[in-house]
Amino acid sequence: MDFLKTLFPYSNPAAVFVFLIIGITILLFFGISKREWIKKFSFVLVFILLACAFFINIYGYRINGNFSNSLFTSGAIEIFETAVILFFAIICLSIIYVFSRKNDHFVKILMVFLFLIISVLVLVISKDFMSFFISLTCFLTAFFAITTMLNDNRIPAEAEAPRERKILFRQVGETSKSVAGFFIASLFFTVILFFGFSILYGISDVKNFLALYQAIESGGINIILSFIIISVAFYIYLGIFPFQAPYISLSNKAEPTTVYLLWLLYFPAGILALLKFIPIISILNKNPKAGSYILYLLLATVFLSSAGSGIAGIMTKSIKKTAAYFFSLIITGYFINMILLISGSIKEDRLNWLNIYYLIFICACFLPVAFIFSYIVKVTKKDSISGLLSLVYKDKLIGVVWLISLLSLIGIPGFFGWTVKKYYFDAVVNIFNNGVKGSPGLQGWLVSIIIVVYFAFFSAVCLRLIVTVFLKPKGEAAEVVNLKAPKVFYLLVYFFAVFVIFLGIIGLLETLNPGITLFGIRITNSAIFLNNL
Amino acid sequence: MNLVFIFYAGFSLFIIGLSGVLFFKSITSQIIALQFIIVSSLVNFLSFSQILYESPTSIIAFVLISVFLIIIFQFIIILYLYSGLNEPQSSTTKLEHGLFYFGIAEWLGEK
Repeated sequence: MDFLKTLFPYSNPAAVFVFLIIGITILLFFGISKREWIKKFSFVLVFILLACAFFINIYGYRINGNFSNSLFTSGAIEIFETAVILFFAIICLSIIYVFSRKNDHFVKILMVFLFLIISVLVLVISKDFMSFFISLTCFLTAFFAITTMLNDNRIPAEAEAPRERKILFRQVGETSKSVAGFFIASLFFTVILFFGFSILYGISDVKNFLALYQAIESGGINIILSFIIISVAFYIYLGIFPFQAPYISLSNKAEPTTVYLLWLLYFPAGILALLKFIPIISILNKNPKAGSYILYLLLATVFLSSAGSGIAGIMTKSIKKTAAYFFSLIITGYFINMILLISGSIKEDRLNWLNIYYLIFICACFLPVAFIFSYIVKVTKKDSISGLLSLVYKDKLIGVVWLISLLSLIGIPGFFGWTVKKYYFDAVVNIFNNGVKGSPGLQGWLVSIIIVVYFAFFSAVCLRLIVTVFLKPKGEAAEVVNLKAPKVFYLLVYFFAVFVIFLGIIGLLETLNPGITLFGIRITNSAIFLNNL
Repeated sequence: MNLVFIFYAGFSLFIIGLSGVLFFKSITSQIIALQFIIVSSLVNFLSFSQILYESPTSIIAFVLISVFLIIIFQFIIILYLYSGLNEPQSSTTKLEHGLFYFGIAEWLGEK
């Protein structure tokens, strides 16, 4: 016990990594096993370790407080980001178990998965370029390894007929090409980021983010060149229109598990890496000329992404592509958050919390929709939006969850989406009345118009999906498909629906501010509530 | 050595690499083109650390570890393409279009 007490001062952030490394070490002994009980044991072990890591993360922060050294920093924001990533990891683990437990490489997949989580968590707490870049590259390498193992579709020996073998060969070849194309794009991102860092080093002689904030004012506007290169790198990483081809191709051809890993780990990791540059952007914003450049760059990004993903999301007839474009639209929300910062609608500390809310928003509102998409593709065995027709009549319970999730995504008051989107509504009204930074002009109009364009496309995609489930198939030739799902599926989507409504009511109470107290804590003010936690 | 000249040389290598990645269809050629960008970054890092700044040790450690990891990442992609992990090897090393090919039909999900 005394020995454990001596370890307490190191529990933030080391304890989380200790749990995950223990998992990898134990799984090393079963790496090549294909036995069913070993797979179940590995799943349970990793699940318990992730849950322990989740709790020790918060507990370690409570007993130790902030941590900082030359390479890493771990404060309240990092603790919340780590908690969200670990929560996503638990969901991903369940998805891997559901979709890929028959995979021969299951235990190896879990080992690489734990390494993947470690890389993301190191990325979250890193403050030095070296730890940042190394964790990001390790993350991409691990992601490549897990994707190839999940998509290792060997041609079965029983597929003897030449025609059948030919079709299988073609499908496997196309999946391999998509995987290779996607990771060449990731490699391209890594190399461009490396080049961007080389220019940044030349201009400012700094190797960590904190020192960079101080060097910006002396570096002046020249530093913008390196930020443009780094922005292009992240633009490619996030697959924003017109660079969406590798992401859409992989989403369309890969196994469903890979797509969930993309949504819950690959994109959040990219966003968290991008958010490391937020304080730099806010300092650059003090210079009116630099602030204008960044604002126009972000406005162009939001416009291209909204129009590109929105039009494709409305036009495509493929369920998988609809989901991929829809997620791309949701990710665009992060750029709107940055625009709110630059236009002075929110402060930097508020932005950090808004970004964490947004991660939870993606999980709570988009995941039920994605689960229903995957389920429909699995049951109907075809990748067509027509599979959603009459869904609300065929299975009323799933239909209700579908409507709750989509209405929440639009931002209807009473659902969780409102808590996040009210900042956008406030910003549009505020900019419309007062302009950007108190002076109305072209920038103010552009910001308002582009946020409205984003909303229009986003709502159009949501409304299309809502309307589709109410439409009845033309002609009675449509085959009758039994949509009865397993109980676990219903439990999972209901959990998210209740979560969305609960957080929506809390958000609404916060807006209306009636001053409800519970155990002496004013629960209708989330800032005070979090502080009391 | 003139720093401006070194920077221009590095930037030329970057442009060559960028064009290669964007316009080649073969994955092998794209990976080779990426080497130009890596070399360009190395030229920048080493020239800046030697000419402008006096304490290059930490930056050399950063460069060595980063390049090592990038090469490992490239190597496993090549291994995946050419090893038995990917059985129908023929034509998998060549994409139908460029890496970021944009076509109306592909964009709207018709293909």
